[in-house]
Amino acid sequence: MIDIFSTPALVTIILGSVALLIPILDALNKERGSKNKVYSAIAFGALALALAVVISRIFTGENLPALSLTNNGVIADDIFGAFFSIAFLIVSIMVTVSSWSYMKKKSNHAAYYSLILLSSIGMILIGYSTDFVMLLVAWELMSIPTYALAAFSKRDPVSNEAAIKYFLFGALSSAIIILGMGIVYGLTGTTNIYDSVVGMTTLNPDLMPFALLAVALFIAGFGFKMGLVPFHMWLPDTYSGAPTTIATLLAAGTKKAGFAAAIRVIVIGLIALNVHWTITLAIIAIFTMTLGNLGALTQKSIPRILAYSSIAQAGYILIGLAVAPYTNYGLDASLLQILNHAVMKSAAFVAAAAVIITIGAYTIEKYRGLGYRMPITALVLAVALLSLAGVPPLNGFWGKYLIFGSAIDAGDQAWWAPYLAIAGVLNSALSLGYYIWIIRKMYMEEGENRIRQKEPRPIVAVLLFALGFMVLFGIWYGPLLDLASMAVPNDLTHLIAAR
Amino acid sequence: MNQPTDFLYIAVILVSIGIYGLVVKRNALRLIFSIELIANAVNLALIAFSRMLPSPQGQIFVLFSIAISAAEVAVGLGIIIIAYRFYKDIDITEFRNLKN
Amino acid sequence: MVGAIGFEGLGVNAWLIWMLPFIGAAFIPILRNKNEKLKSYVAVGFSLLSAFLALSILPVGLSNGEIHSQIPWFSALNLDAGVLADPLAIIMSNLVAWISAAIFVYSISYMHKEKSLIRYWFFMLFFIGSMQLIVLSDNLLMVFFGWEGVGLASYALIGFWYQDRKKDYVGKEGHTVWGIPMWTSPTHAGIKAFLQNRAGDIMMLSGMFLIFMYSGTFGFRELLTDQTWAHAMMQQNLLVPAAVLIFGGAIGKSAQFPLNEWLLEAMTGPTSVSALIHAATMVKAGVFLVARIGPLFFALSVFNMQQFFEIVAWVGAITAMLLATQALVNPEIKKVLAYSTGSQIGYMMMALGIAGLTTNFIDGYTAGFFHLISHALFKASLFMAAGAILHTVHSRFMTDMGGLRKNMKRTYIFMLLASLSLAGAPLITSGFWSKDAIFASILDSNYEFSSYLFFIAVTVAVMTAFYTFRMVGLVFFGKPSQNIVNMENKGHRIREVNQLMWLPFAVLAVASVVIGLVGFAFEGQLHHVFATYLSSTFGITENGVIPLSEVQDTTGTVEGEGQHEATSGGSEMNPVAVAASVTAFGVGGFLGYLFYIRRSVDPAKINENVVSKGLWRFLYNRWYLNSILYWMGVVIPLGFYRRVNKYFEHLLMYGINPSVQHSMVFMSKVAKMAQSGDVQIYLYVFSAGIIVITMLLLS
Repeated sequence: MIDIFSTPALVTIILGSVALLIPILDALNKERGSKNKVYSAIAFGALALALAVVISRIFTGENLPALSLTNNGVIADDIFGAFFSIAFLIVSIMVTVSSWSYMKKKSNHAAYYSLILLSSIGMILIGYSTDFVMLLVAWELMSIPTYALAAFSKRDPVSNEAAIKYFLFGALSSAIIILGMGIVYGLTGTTNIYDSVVGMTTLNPDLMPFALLAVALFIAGFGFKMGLVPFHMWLPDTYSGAPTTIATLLAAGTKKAGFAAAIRVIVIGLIALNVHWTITLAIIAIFTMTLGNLGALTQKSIPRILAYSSIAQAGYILIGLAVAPYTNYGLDASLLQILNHAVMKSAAFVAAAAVIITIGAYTIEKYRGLGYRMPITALVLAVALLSLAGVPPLNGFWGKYLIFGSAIDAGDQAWWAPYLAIAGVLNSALSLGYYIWIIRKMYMEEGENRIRQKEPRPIVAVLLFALGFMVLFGIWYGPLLDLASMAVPNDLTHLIAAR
Repeated sequence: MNQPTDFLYIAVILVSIGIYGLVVKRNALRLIFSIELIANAVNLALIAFSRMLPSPQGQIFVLFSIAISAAEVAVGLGIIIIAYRFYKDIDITEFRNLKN
Repeated sequence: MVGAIGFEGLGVNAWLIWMLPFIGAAFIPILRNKNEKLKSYVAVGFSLLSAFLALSILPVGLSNGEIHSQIPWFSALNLDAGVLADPLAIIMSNLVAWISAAIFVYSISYMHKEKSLIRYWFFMLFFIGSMQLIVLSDNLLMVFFGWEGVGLASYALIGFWYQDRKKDYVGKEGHTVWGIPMWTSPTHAGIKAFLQNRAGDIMMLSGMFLIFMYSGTFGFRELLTDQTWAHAMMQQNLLVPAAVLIFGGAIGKSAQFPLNEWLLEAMTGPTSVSALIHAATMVKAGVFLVARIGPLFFALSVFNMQQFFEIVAWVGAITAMLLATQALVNPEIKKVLAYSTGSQIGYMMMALGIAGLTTNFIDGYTAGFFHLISHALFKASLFMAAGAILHTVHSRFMTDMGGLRKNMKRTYIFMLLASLSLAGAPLITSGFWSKDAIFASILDSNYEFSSYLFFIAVTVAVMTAFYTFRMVGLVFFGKPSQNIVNMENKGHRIREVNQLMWLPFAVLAVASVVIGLVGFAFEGQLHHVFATYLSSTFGITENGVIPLSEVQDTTGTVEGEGQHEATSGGSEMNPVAVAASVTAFGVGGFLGYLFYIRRSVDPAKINENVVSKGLWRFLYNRWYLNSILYWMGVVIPLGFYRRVNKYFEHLLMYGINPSVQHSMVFMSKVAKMAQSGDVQIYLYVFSAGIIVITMLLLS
């Protein structure tokens, strides 16, 4: 059974107890008045503790498997999960701390932070789960709180609309995921991921179309969270309509959870399946990048640009998944980019949130002269955008560089793989168009005034952390890449050979 | 109507109805119904598989699935009630503030 | 004894030496609202801390130990970041740290009441941090990072007074040559330094990567232990070009011919910056790089590296000659010092080059490095003293000074001491001994053109003595100039600068004399340290190179022998060299004394005939090099660019560009067509997507 001292269990206990504690505290609290700071601090403490647990487990835990491929239990304590947990926890911490400022004037703080914590548990458990049932439960634990969070501005019809769109797609995609899982269960008679992968290898060829249908359903179901074309339609609307901190959580957190699930289920599962599924992912990747970047090119609102850019980024990351069977470091590169993107995109969204609460500006026109009005925010936003565009020596560069490198490397075995790299490079160039445009508006053009605004302290702290992360791991990306490659099983190639 | 495969046929029909409803209907509640229809079709299929194989895991799966659907719908209905307050209507084609 | 110490104990110190200044630079802006004293003291504190750390590893260096600690950096390329503190790096690092600490102390007073002090200290700390990074890193790539850092900091500091006030200009106003103005503003000078350095950096970068392509490593030690790359490169005839390209970086940084022009105009920055650039950080980086890679290439002498060293030696010789001649006629005190720096660096390059052309590498190497040390001491001192004078007189022209020895006694004494060292006053100054060592190594070499080099070296020494005395004479002797009389009439009193200002250069001047007094022993010691270092690390002994494998096989015996050899080597004085350097000092010094101190001959009289007038103009116009470079590098390309712009870019801007833009916008609109906000359509696309993907998978 589940070891109570394994990382996922510990983290669940820490975060879960605090998530339940906050509403109870709120109920017991007789005084009127907001306890925003208190709850934020408690949530931050819990998340930081969880992060410490995960990181210390990586350093102290000997013989941690990379990506556990066993049929023992429903969750496995492995580095793959730990890697994603680190990404999710960093994002959650950034969201929590910046909410300190963002939620100041809003109500229902207890529920807000509690839901963020619950959603974080869901994301983390996705990374760790080795069973379809567990995966489903974690998936829903992640999703359901975010539906409520997206609708959190109760007086704002836009937030509500964002939530409705998000909810409809979310519910549909979870139904589709269950459908896929049901088919796999029907074909292999087990809900354990590893067992079903093994079962797939000995599948009756007549039943192959059903297996492929299941794969398609998984791609659609997980792809909805990842923002893959054509399952992306909800994404720009929701990201730009939801409260900006929640958009951060969605773009940087749940999106990556989609990738975690996809790697757990599709990539690992499909490698066993002797099908040319990779080219399908490659086609999706190209469409996703291109559409994301083209869409972002003519936007006027910053959160919307960021939403489209996160679609494009999903396309880049998907390249690594698509070439995973052909090269040793396709998945490493994707994982690295996932962590990098989590931080970059959080930084950009949090900066946008800071601008919204300080000067109430959404549109790019209002960002003119921001470099003078909110210097720190503008600086970090600029760095985050450059990093998203993949300008060296920032961390986003290395992720992209390795992804494109792996695509070229895969060219030996898959003729189409180098074209992915070419498409990726062209798209990066295209994306510079709108990233630089924003930076130009902020620094080169004169705004309404040059009065320096007071930037909210917690958000400044978050932004500086992100800035440090982006620059430091841009110059010295070694540890992150090492961690990413530790998280990917070496015997992936054995699986390929075994099929 | 006693073969396990018959249940699967019914499940497929239900899924198709659900998808049809999703694409055609404009009422938010109906959309939720459609989605639920798909989910429940899967539940049915899972139980059928569980009988066919035979293995108990499928039935456990269904229990989880039902609980989750319930939670999901509860949140969804909440959101739609708020929407009703704004628009006095739950026609999803009305919700078009966010576009492009 | 070669002891590699990892990332513990002293290894941490070695890392911190270069990290501390950076940390300090990051820390300084926090103090922006604090008072001036605190800012200065914090900055000085950081530099002193770094200096003491450097001191802590000095024993390791003197006992021929080595600290080499690495951490993984770019795992994909198999690159490690590391510090390599071997005797060379440790001595250099101490030199840099202590001289910059002295300059920092001086800056407290010199930059008093300056407005943008934060910017000043930030870049100063950044400057020495980058320099220490160059000195201590164990691979070319990190050297390059430091290299760029130094370039950036120098750009920022040379153009420190970016307001371009007239008093910060350099050169005589209105002096144009071939239509090119010879006087420049701080920002202009900063950009010029930056661009000329870029030219060098590009060469260095390409050389580095050329070697990397063959060896797969940037590490100095790795390049040495596995020499197959050199073999492969030699077969492609790429080894010498690659080495020369790396030397190109040194040419840019050390302001050697033909990239020497920037140094002369880098005088627009605060004088403390000039002192730092000339004594400790910037120009020494180039010499250090050659000292770093020189033994490596010499150890590869099987592959016939002769040409590389020849180029180094001749570039050094030409620069020494070129700049010494120009220093003879310049009227600005800081510029005279700048010329002299370039020319002295030329000496060092000459020595390092000649080292590679003989079998006895150690002599020339030691001579070059010894000159680096003594030059760093006296040049820092001279610049700071010159700064003190500028501070008092408010003019950069020596013609505006004169007779200052009565008013500024201390400055006079210590500047005189440092000047004597520059001029090479026999037996008591470090400059004499190091110059003498260079002469000796040139004479001892069996290079076929060594007599020409020797001739150049001696001529330059004569000129050096002459212009040094000229400078001293013009500044401190004679009658007070019109400027000073005016100032005194207005009620300004010309008086000694405060203690915080004169103490640093006094210390350095005295140090330079003290080293001079024990110069012979000092040289012997240095020779000993380098002999053991070169023999144990590179396998370079008195009689050429023995393969490294043999060195490592017989470490014990070689050690013993090395020490023995070291004491014997370099201890004989070369009488010709001594005679030459004494004569050079005598001739140059006497002439200078006659013209400018006793003033028994009026220099203006010599200028009356046509030949000397033409010569004077030729030198004063800097051999027309500046103008040529401008015409070739700026004016003509710009003209060409304008033509191109007119015909092609116009087309690009107004023809192709908008159409690209419009088509992109159009495509963007198409891409977003479905994004109508209608959930119905979204759901439809979603469902269709599932079907399409299923089809794709099934096909």
